[in-house]
Amino acid sequence: MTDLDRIFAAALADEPEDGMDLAALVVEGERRRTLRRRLAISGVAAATAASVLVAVAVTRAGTGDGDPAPADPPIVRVPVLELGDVVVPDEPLLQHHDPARGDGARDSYDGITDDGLVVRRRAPAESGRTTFGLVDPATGATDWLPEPPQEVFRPRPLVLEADRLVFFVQDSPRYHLLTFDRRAGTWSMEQIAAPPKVLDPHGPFTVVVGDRLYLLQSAHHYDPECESRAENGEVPWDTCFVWSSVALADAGDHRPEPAVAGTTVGSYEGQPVVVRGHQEVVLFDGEDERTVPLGLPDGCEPAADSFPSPTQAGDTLIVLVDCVGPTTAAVLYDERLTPVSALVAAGQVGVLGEFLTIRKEAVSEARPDVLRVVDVQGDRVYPLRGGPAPAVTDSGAGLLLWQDPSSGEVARRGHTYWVSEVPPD
Amino acid sequence: MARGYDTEFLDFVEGSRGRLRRTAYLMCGDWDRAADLVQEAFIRLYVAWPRIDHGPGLAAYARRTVAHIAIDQGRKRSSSEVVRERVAPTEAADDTAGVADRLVVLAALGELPPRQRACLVLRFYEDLGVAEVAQILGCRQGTVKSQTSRALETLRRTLGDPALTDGAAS
Repeated sequence: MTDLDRIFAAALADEPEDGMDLAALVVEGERRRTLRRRLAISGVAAATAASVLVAVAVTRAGTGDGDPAPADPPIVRVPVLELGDVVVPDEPLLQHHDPARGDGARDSYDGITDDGLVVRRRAPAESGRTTFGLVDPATGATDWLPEPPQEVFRPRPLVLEADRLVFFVQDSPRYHLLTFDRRAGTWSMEQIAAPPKVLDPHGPFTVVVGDRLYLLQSAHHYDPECESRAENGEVPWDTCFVWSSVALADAGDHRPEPAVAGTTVGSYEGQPVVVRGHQEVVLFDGEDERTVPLGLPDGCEPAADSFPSPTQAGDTLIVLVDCVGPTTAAVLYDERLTPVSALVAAGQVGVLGEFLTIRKEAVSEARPDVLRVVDVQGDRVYPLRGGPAPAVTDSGAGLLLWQDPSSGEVARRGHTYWVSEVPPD
Repeated sequence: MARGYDTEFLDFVEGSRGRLRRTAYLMCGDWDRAADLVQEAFIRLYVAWPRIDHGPGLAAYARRTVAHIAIDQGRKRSSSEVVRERVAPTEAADDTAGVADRLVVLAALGELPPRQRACLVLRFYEDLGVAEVAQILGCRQGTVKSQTSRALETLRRTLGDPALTDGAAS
């Protein structure tokens, strides 16, 4: 025993009984998780390529001298989307079970590139570097990429394209953009210029908007008390949180984004979009703004402490709304940016690439804890095989990728990942 | 509480809370604060749970969270609190030697700035390598070495034990 061992043993000699209240811990965790879900769009980190440019009649915001203040657009009531047939995908192309490997390393599947390959990540147990590979789901073969320039901690995929892969890497208090040039076969890693003080040092909210990454930051420092005060309406949200952005191609190009302060930010056609005051959807195009009404289905009033979240599924503008009561809605807009219908579910509605998702009690009371994937027309519903609560990971290039984290023994036996083709119409 | 990941989360909490609380205590010197630190770490972990890996690195992730919170709170406290009393090692009475030793050790650890203290605890209580501590604290390996060295020097001085060793150099 070393001197320090004795010192530590002496210091710990009066250890009292641990009275941690696990139920209270989970309640508080659930409260913060709900808050974060409402504050920011989760799971919408994939880039939204501006593949179809919607003709948007842009108008200057009417805030200049002499301009009359624009009236708030009325909320538009929209019909509930009727769901079509349930379509069971064919046998999965890839089923990867990740049992505990002898060397302790673990594999995960992080997303789908726009040319239809699955990004595989192998994290070492103790030492060594995280490595990446691209899996061809048709053959299961993995093309391992060169090692990144340094060890990276929990990289999160931002852009998975045919010519580049971009990841957000947090090595708190520093944040980096890790980029793999697929044509050159080389990695680069850049530290984001003004390290943001992020809301949650273990999972900062990020949204890719065109060629920039938006980051939700704590205005001052991570401060749960400020968060609680904001939640209780004692201070405005932007007292605690602000947005900034960094160019995906130049981590030195970091700037504040005051125009979108105090609300959630989404991406539509490569431009930021926000919802203000539970009432209006604001689309930005440079310094110009366009305001369109929020649509809501009958019976849905936005929860007072919620933040409707705008985003894009395929070519469609979507606004996710937490309604008073146990329902959520995904409001769908047409190409003229008019709200036309809404998918409503007793569970949680989300967006996954080109699809909508419904978790829990959405389709069948008999199977309350399932996840279903729905196309934006509502015509087809895909149940995901796996355990009772599969987690979505990504969709794109005609593929769906998800994992089954439902077993309590996951830490020992690993996740199972599935890749399926989206059945043709 | 019905979701699969909640069960998994609670399994992890049950299996790691004791060790984490002891680590937190060594970093802050107060059992109640240590419990608060660990609870806050678990809450943050719960929030992040659906999107983090649940593999062997999970314990390191939790340690990292505890260390960050301890350092953050330690900095805030050190800028707002004044040390009113220091325990002199020679004043310990024989019949309370255990208690006195503990107080002396805690007072000595309390002399350390939060980051140095975290380096010491992670290196020699958690028995982590320099590289791993550097990753947990988000600093260079050289910084870990220098902070650890300064911490040991302070302990030697405070405890009046110039021969104090960490066991690593031998």
